[in-house]
Amino acid sequence: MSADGLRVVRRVVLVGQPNAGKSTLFNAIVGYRAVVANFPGTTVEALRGQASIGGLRAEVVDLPGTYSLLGGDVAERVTRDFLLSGEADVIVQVVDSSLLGRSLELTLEVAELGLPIVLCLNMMDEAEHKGIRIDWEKLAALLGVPVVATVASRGQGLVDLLAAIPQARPVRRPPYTADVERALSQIREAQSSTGRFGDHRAAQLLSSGAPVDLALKEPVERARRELGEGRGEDPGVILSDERHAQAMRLFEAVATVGKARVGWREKADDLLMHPVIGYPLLVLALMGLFGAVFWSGDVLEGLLSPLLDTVSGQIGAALGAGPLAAVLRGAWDGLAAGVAIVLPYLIPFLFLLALFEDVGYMPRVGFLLDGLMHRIGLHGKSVIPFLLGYGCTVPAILSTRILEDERDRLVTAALAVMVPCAGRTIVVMGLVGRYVGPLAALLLYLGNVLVIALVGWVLTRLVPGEGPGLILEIPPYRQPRLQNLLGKTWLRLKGFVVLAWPLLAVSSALLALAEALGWAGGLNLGVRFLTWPLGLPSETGVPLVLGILRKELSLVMLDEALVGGVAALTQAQMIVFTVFVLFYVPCLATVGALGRELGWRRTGLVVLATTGLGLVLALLARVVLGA
Amino acid sequence: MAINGGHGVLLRLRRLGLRPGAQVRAVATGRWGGPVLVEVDGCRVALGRGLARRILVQVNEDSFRPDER
Repeated sequence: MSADGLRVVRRVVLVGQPNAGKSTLFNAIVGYRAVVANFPGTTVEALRGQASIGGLRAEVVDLPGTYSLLGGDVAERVTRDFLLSGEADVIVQVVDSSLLGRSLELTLEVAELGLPIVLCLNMMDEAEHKGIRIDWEKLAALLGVPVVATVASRGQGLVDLLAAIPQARPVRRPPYTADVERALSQIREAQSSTGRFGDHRAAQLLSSGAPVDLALKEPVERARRELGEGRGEDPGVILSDERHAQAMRLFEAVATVGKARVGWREKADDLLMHPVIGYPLLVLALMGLFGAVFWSGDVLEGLLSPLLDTVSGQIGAALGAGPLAAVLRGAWDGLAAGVAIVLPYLIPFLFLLALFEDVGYMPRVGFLLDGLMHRIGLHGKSVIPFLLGYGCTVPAILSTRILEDERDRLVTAALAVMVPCAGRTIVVMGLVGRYVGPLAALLLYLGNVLVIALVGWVLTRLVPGEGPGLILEIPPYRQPRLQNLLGKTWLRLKGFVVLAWPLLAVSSALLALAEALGWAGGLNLGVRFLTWPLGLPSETGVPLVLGILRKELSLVMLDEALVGGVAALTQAQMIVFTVFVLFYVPCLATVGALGRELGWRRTGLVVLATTGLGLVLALLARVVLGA
Repeated sequence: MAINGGHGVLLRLRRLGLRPGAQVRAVATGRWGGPVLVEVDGCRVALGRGLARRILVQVNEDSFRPDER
C-alpha cells in the first residue's frame, strides 16, 4: 500500500451471485469481451480484460457467479479456486441491489478470505423498481469498505467504481455467536501453519469437514461434533444460518422496503409460465424463431446471390485459365459462398437467439420442460445447454458446468453435441429449407429432438445415478438492449469470420487445386465407403470430410464440388446428406471442448457413437425416401 | 435426509432464501410432474418436484406456512 492509503492494484476480480450483472460490468469496463445474458450461469470460466485503475494498467477478471464458496458446481469451483490461488489484489463484489440481503451473505463469506473488497451495488434501478431504498453510505460505514452504487447496463457509476478500487479494505466482519467462534478458533489453532486465508479455511473445514491434512482430522471432527451437538444442527447449516442472520441485520439497518411497482415483467410470467398456455406459447416462440431465420435468410440470400455471382463471373474472366487461376478462383468462391450461404442465415439466427437470452426466456423454458426432461432422466437445467447448442456447440458444452451433478453433466454434454448448431442450421436451411421446403426443414428439427430424447432415455439408463433435481433461479425479465444484442451477435459472428472464412477460402482453393490436378476423384473415392451406402454422389465425399472442420463447410464445399451446385442433388439426396451432417462427428472445436470437459476417452466414445448414429439415421432416411 | 447429497442441497437452498421460517409463495407448477415455482424474498426459484416434496417434509417441522404447495 502506498503512503496515501491507496492500494497498488494489479488484478481485480469480479465476484457475485449469478445474474448480478458481473459480465455487463466487465464489458462496460474492459470493452465487449464477455457474452452477457439473462440467466444464471452465463459465465462459466474466468474471463480476463484490461482497465486503467489508479492510473495503472490492471487486469480485470470476470468470475462465474456463485451463491457461496462451497463449490456446488464446476462454475462455482472455478470461482473458489481462483480466489484461493491468491492472484487477486482486490475483490469487487457485484451485488444485485434488489437482492441485497441475500448478497450480503456472500459478502460475509468472501470477507473471510481477508482480501480488500469493494462492494458494487449494481442494478440500483431494479431495487428502486422493487421499492427498496439503500443507505449505501451507512452500509460502507458498517462494513468498513467502499460501497458504490451502479447501473452497469447504462454505464452509471462506473467512474466512481474504478476510483473506489484502490481504496478497497478488508471487510470488518461481525463476530459469530460464541460457540461458533470457539469451534473456529479450535480449528485455527490446530492448523499448524496459518498461511493465507486462515479464517476462510477454518470456516470451510467447520462447514464441511474432510480436511486434506490428516493431522487436522481429529480436531476438526471434534469442533464439528461439539458445535453440532450443542445446537442439534449440522455445522454447515449453523454457519449458513449465522451469516444469514448477520446479513439480515445489516440489511435491516441500511435498507427500507416500500411498495414494489408491478409492470409487464411481473405479469408476463402469468402467461409464459402458465401450466397450460405456457406450452403453446413456447412452441410459437420457437416456430417464430426458426420461421424468422428462414424467411430473412431467404430474402437476404436472394439479394446477395446475384450480386456475388456477377462479381465471381468478372473475377473468373479476369483470371483466365490455368491451375493458378483455378486456385485463386476457388479461394474467391469459398469466400463468396461464405457471404452468400452462411451470413444470411447466421446473422438473423444469432441476433434472435441473443434476444431470447437477454429477455430471460431461457430459464423459463427450463422450467416448462423440466417435467419432460425427467422422462429422459435429466432435469430442466439441462435445457439451457441444449438451447445454447442451437447457437454453437462449444459454449453449450461449457455451460454444462452449471449442472451440479456429474452424471447430468456427462449426459447433457453428450446430447448437446447432437443439437443442430448454427453451422448445421445453415446446412438445413440452405439445402433442405431452400430446395425441399420449410416444412421438411422443420420436420428434420423435430426428428432431431426426438432422436436426442431417445438417446437421452437410453444414456441415462446406462449411466447410473440420479441428480438432486432442479434448483434454478428464475430472474426477472429484462428489457433487452440493442447494444448488447448487437455486441453479442458480433462476438459470436466473429468466430465465424475469423475462423471459418479463412478455412472456407483455403479449403475451396485446395479443392480447386485437387480438381485441376485430377486428385479430387481419389479423395472422394477414399470416402466412398460412406457416400455409396447413402446413395450420395461421389463428389459429396470431400465436403463431408471437411465438415469435420466446421459444419457449414460441408454445404459450401458441396456447392463448389458438384457440377451445377447443390441443385444437382435430388431432394431425397439432400435430406440424406443433411441427416448425416446433423449427427456425424462433431466439429473439431467441439471435440476439443468435449475433451477438456469430459476427458478424451469419453470424447472418443461420443465421436464414434454420433457417427454411427448419423450413418444409421441417414440410411434410414434413404430407405424411407426410396433414394 | 441423505448425509452426502442432502447436505449440499440443503445449503444451496438456504443460499436462495429457502430456509426454515422463510415466507414462501407458490407461483406456478409445471406440467408432466414439472417443477414448482416459488417466490421467496422477492426472487423466484424453480424447484424440481421431487426436491420440493423432500423439502416440504424437512420444512414442515420448521414452521413453513403450509400453503406453498
